[in-house]
Amino acid sequence: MNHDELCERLSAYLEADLEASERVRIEEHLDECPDCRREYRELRHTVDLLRRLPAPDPPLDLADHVIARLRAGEGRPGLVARCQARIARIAGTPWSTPVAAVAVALGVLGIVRGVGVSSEFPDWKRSESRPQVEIAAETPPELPARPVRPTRLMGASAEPSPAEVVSPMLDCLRAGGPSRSAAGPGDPCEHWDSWMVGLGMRDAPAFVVEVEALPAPVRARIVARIRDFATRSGSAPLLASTLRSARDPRAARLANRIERTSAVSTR
Amino acid sequence: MALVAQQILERGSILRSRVEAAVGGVDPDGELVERWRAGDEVAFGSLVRRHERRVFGLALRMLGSREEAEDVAQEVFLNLHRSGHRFRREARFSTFVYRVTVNAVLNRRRSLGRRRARLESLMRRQASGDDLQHAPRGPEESLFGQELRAQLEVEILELTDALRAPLVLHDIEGLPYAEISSILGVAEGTVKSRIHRARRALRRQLGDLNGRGEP
Repeated sequence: MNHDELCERLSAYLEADLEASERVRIEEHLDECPDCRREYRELRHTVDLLRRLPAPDPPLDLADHVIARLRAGEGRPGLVARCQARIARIAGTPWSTPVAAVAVALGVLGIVRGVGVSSEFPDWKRSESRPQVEIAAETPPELPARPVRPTRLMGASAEPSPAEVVSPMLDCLRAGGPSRSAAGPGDPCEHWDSWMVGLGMRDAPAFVVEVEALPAPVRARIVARIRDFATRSGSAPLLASTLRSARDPRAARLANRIERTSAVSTR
Repeated sequence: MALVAQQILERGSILRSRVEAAVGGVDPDGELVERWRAGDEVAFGSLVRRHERRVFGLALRMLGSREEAEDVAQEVFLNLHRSGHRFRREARFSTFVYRVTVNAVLNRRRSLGRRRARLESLMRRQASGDDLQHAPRGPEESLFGQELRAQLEVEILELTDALRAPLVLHDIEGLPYAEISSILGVAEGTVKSRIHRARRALRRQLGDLNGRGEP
């Protein structure tokens, strides 16, 4: 090992991150080479200074600002993430199977109907000395739910039927389909994920009948989109199970396709 | 249905045991993270308090401006809240926090333009005294020590992003090489060599100031 190579190893030597034999070689070189000795001394001093730099204090109200912004609705996960969280949360409760099945469906529909749109962040104030356990034990006060944004498909009084959803779904496909990210208000695909969740959970068998009545190419596109949604949201097993419960061969076929795609994508 | 629920539970348990094996013990944030993911937003508030110092500190060391660092720190916590479902518990939560912070800082610097960011940061420091803390740390710290520390903080900001990030994470935040490798997404050997290059650059820049404080 020459002079330059040894110099490159000085940081490792400084941190005792070397084999014994290499360590001995570097020590022998340091004994002979004043340049390396100086470099080693200065490196050690630099590292010592870095380690003693004081940690800057964050602004006192940093956490309060974050919480205020969360309460104002910023930092909310997207629909797919909320869907996954709800499914995992409800499936993790020690309820009996039929109750859990209904709860999963209702919980997901809750997101669609706007229940999950309310800000869930509780109102609590900063206290420097308050221990974590005490903070955690506080009961968050009730917050008013944000008003549900009215849409042509999500009326306050009645859920859209599968037949009512198929038509705007076709509008969405004509506009290029829901693959474009972040469909905004007024976009024909704005509610695609909501349709998928709602119909997949609640009216899957009836929806399959509606879809089966469509021309084959359109049907294929819708089915492909459903598979895509199921894979993305991790809800493929749940959707497949709901479809199979209809005991309809067409629904069962769709369930098989969804499960196959999901298995391939997670491999 | 029961099968689906059971699979989800089993997967959670497998992941948890993998994390514990990988990080060599229980993640100290594990309980709060569990509660937050189960819908307890108060637990997220506690996580913000627990990590605000390291997020802000890292952002300030990387950006050099308190104003920018505070802005980025807020964005980091909003991003964490938004993308918490992506935390797979294959590493400690604090590693995930550092990763999100480093990405946010680099995005901020890219969006501002590196040169402009540096210029603005220097102008701000000149205008407002200084954002980084150069006040004496105690009666024992000499004027020379303060000068050296101030110079060091300026020189850290002069390093490239590729050298500054591993240096700050290792020599200031005290993280091990393996964790930095995971945060930055580069090999451990690359982390070590970048830290060494950054130290040598600082040593050169500090020049004659360096070593004068040595006994």
